[in-house]
Amino acid sequence: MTDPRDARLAAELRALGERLDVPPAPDVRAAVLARLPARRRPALPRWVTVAAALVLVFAAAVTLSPAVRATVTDLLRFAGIELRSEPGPTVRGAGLLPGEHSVDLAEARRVAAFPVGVPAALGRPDDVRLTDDPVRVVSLLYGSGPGRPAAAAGPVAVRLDEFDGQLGPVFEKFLGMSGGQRVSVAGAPAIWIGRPHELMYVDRAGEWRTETARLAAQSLVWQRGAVTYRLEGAFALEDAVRIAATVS
Amino acid sequence: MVARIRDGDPASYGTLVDRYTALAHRTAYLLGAGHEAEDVVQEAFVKAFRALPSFRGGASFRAWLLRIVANETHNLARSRRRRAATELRAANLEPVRDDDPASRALADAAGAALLEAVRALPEKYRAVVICRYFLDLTEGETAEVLGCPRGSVKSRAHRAFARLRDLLAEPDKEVVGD
Repeated sequence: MTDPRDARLAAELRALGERLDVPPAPDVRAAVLARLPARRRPALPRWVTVAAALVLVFAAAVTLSPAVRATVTDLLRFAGIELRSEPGPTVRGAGLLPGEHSVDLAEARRVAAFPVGVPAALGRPDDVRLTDDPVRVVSLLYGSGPGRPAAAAGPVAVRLDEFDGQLGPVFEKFLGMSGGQRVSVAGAPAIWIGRPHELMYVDRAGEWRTETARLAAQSLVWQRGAVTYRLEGAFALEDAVRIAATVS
Repeated sequence: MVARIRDGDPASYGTLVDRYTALAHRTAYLLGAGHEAEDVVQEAFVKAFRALPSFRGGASFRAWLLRIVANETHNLARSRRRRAATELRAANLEPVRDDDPASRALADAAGAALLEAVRALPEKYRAVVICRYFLDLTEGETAEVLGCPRGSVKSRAHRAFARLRDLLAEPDKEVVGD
């Protein structure tokens, strides 16, 4: 408004606004709070829990790209999970999931609520780890050996994480967000992430556990039955798919 | 703050309610809720709490909230119109009762005339004038509160001013100013 008459009129209106007779504001606080739903933890559908756990896989993209981080946030927000915008954590060479501890295979099968598969191509794991209580992730660890890729750092050459639950409706979204490639494992849809990426654990409450951040090599993610799998190792896609197809 | 509440903490929502009640109430009252402004404000705060997940961080919370208030006011006006067409937001802009003689003098003639003119504006124009000058919102906030593009706010304000001048004048005399 460059017209001086406009400026004058605007000033008059503002002055008038200050002199308007508006009744004093009521105190509505108590009435409003009484009408709000009581606080409770949102009941998450099973796949959301898994989706949160699988953010492990995509934390790389998340910490690298604000746009992708926003997408993850939007995706999880409707489930009552709010992510904080913070710079990515320092990535350690090898991290453990919170509460991760070694057991033998029989014990893992006994305590896990889902069937624990073993890839026949790799045979019995050298170590089995459980995460969270009740158990949410079972991890099979393999050292280097014949028919296995070389370990990039440390003694572990291959890691197979098995999550309780399915990605369900967010599978496609994760595919898009991860920048991964759509492949299939024995006919089941799968995601191949063929480059190093950061892993981070997201706990049941939706909190990002930055202390768990570590750099992973390639990963193959697929689901079968009620279980979602993440196979990690320095192998080519064909080898990963071949190993994955033997999980039973 | 909003983030903490969005995590599902009704208790800290109270702080937010306290902070914005006066503005929300003034907005509802001036936009036409009149003596029902308190109900509108209460309803708006309850709806806002439920809608919090859709609030984008970084956006203006007050504009977002006031839009809900404006919508509630609008709904109220609509239902009222069905009941009694005569009651249509006539008396919401009341002249001030000011005890200071100087400002009262200023208020009297020009102020009353301007107030009448604002009242006589078509609703769309009046809403823009109320948001921009009586609530002191920015152009962007006004656009969000009224749910229209920023360009519309600009053009409506422009037309509102032209209309106000027509209503007030005596074309060449400065009724409003000076």
